[in-house]
Amino acid sequence: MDLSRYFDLYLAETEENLRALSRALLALEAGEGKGALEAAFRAAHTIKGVAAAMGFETVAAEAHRLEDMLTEVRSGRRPADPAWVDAMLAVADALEAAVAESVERGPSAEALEESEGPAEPFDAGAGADLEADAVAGFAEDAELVAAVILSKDTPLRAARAAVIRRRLSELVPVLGSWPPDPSEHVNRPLLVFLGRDGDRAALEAAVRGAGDVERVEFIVPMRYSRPAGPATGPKPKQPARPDRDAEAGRAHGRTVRVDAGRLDEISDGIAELAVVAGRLVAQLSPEVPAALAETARRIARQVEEIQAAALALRMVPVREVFDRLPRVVRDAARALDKEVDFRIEGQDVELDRAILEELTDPLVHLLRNAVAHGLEEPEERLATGKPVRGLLRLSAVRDRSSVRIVVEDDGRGIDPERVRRRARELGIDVPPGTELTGEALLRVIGRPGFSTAEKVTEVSGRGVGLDAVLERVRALGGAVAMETKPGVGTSFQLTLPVTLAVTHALRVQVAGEDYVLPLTHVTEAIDLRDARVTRTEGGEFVDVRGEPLPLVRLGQVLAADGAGEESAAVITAVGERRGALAVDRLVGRERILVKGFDAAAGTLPIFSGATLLGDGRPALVLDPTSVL
Amino acid sequence: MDKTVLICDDAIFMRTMLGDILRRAGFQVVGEAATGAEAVELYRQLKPALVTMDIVMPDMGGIDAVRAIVSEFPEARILMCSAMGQQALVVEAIEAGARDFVVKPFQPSRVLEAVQRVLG
Repeated sequence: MDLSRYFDLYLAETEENLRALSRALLALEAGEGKGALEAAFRAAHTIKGVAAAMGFETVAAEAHRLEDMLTEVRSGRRPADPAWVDAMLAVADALEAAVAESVERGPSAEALEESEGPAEPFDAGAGADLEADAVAGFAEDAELVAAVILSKDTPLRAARAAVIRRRLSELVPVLGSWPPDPSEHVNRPLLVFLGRDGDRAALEAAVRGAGDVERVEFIVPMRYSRPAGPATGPKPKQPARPDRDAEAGRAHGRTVRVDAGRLDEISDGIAELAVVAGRLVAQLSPEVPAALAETARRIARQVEEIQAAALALRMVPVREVFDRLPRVVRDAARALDKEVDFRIEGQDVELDRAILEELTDPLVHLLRNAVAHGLEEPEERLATGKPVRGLLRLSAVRDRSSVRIVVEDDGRGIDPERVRRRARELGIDVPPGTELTGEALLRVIGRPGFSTAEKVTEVSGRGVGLDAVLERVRALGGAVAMETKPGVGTSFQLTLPVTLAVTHALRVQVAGEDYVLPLTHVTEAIDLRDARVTRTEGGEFVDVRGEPLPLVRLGQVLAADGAGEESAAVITAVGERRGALAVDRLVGRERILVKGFDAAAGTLPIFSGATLLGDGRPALVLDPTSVL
Repeated sequence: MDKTVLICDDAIFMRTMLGDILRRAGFQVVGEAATGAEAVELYRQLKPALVTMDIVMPDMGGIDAVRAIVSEFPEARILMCSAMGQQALVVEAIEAGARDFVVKPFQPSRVLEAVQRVLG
């Protein structure tokens, strides 16, 4: 039996269920009771059933263990106190590890082994698991699937399913149905796998005639296969966009799950195509016949539309990563005996999946740091008149072409004097006059190896981190800003481009060379020729509607020879930092596809990547964060 | 339309109640059986339009009775009567050839709906 074609489905559904499980366990601990308990049960049970069908026994066994532990709670033998939830979370971790391992091993590895010897039965759930095992067999041969929604109050749903199967079997061969026991999956459509397509009206009448049927839809199963072998092809780390109702959606043919790697290939391909199309249009000269030019323009427009559609496919709600974080905060808080009120906002804000995936580590780091160093010990909070429970807030907001993610605590803030002392110990040069606030402070504490924590804790790491956070966010074309007030709290702001695929950028010229600046950070451009520039000891400032902004002459920064007359300045904003970048000439707005690159050691850290311009020339992408 | 019915249940109470529901809907109860063996025998004699069949009965259970009847009369229209905890048995009965089922305690409307489906 070839299980590999179900592998993506297994993985996507299992990851969804793992997240649901973790959510439910935390809710259970928070006292949400029965609903949470049942949710945890469902998740564990589904993971078990699907894993058993795939032949991943370790996964199924861990899930079964968890079911047993949940049963203890359900039967009232144990309260869902922190200790027991801890134990269950530990098993959930083991389960997650088993899933990860099953991914490493790839499809059907275990299933094949399993066929060599007798399967070890899992006591109570064995019957259901054996049935689950059979589903892959008949689902594979189905030509048509009937998705049936039974009324909510249908008694004996499995028996009703049997009636439906029976009635359908008078018309077409019926291979089987899923789930094996529909009584346990009240919210799921019943899928009946048919060996042949037939007169849909007659089939529908047969199903409806079985009673208790609310809705019937027919789906022609999609055949898709993965690249041969688990070793080749991109490993799908994340399911492609698991909608909350993906379960129902899939059954109704509205949603399909696609390997994330393949989606990337397509959207990258389209993005390249868009750039080439743009180039084609840019090369149109008056000598080109009008019809040909029109066709070229039409192609470019069309590609642009396809690209917008492809971009939308890349977007996922930040929920996918945010959902895992309550667990991180809880564990950190428990390990440190702190009480934390963790609030999440803006879960539905969407971000390019590729960016979001990269954000897990930075967010985990910032949150742990906040719990470990930001939030005070309960006694200290009481003594300073704060609520015992520290407040930790994570939020996401869409702001034009960027997304801002904020991690904010109401803790003790960062003490600039301590930072200064620590910097001195580490031999980091901090000019005595510098006021250590906001970005200046961030620059110091963001140095590799910097940590003011007196004791190294298990939770917050060992001075690795903040620099890695800054680096990661920058590599994504984003920026980090920080605000802290002693005694009041600290907030980190991560500003990220909405997508990595194609960025709108401003093309400028400095000393005869073209550079681009991502529009994410550009607020406006001004004519420098009639602007008022003042020189002070701190440098040059240009007056923009009454506000003096530091003027950075890119020609000097780039140490370019033959810098021409600077005619314009691009006003750039990174977090709260604003500045004017003087350039020789503004060329225009471009759509660019940024290729990240690893700059050779020792080169100027002011570029974040390289790109091909509309006319095919390569250009470097300036990183406004470092320039400022 | 033939509205003859054979009721099979080992409990008189159930036979009576079911009979009342069906009679009120214009059915004619032509026979009552208290065991599976009786059910098969009476079916042969009466060839009713509808059979209601309890699952747990002495001397051949309802499921075996369904098998026996259907093997001889594939066109037989049998409605299973079951309790809440007997889901697996109902599935088995349907796979053996019963057309539909109702769940005890009987609600007249649900019984008649099921009968409609079986006869329809």
